[in-house]
Amino acid sequence: MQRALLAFMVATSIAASAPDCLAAQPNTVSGRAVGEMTPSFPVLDVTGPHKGNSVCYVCESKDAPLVLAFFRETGNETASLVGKLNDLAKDQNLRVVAVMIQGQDSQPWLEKLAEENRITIPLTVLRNGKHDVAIKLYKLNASVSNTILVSAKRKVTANFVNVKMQNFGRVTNAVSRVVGQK
Amino acid sequence: MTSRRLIARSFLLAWVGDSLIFTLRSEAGEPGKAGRYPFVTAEQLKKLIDSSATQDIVVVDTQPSEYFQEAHLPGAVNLPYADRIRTPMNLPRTKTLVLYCPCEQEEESIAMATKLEKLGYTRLKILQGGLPRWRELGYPTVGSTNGQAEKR
Repeated sequence: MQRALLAFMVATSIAASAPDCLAAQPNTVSGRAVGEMTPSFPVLDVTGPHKGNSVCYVCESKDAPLVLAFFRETGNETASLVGKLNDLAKDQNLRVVAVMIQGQDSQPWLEKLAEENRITIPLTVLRNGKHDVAIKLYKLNASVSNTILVSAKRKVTANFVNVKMQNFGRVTNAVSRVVGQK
Repeated sequence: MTSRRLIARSFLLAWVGDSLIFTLRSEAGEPGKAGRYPFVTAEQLKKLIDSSATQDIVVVDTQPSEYFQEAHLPGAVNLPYADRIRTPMNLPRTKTLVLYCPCEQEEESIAMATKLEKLGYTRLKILQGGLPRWRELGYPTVGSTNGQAEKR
């Protein structure tokens, strides 16, 4: 009886501390790993010349370097990062695509963002939002705020999760390396 | 000397004639080529599928299998785009393979056609405009989306 009670107490204490353990986990995984292929997936373009169309940017870029930035939701941090990505695309003359996992609900926010901040990179949404096949295909973790993949020759060369403005430099560095190898 | 001139003129005439015919064909809306692979238009393929005259062709979808399961052209087989094609494959060499991808500019289908050609496939065609064009025309797709058939 005492053993059963002890086991119960141990089990409940583990269960209670589990969320904290997960929250403190430093290496959250999301997105295809370095070296993996970037499969084709269509996105719905919200801004720019392809507005309203389904476009496969992975197919279009062929072997050229490409940055795919998946964002979980809209907000100030996302807006700032999109601005940074836009600058990066201009500076390095490469294709950068921002994809909102939230789906078509984020369309008005993206349109406003592009207009007010003169964003020229494609701002897109997943056609089926959180239920889109791309989430599974790209192994995206729905709990992270963003996943940024740098690719070249249809292979992931760098993978960043939960990027913030303060540590955006590592994305820039990864892009520079890829562009330098062109 | 005169005969040389005559030959040169004949070549020039032939070249001009060919260019003219090519231009007229293009203006008449005949499908051109994707690289060295002939195009098939969505309209032409739809007619073939509708008339069940597809015994000499195999429609090949290069989407990732997850997207193929969601929606693909009626009767299509899935050969997802990959760096290297795994052999052996179940694609017949005696039939014409009509390849399509989820891309308007046919990038992936052309790349896959090149890989197939290296494996000895010679009868290769490309669906002009790929899956986006097919959908744009409102032609039906088959798959898990909306039950059995999806018409956009």
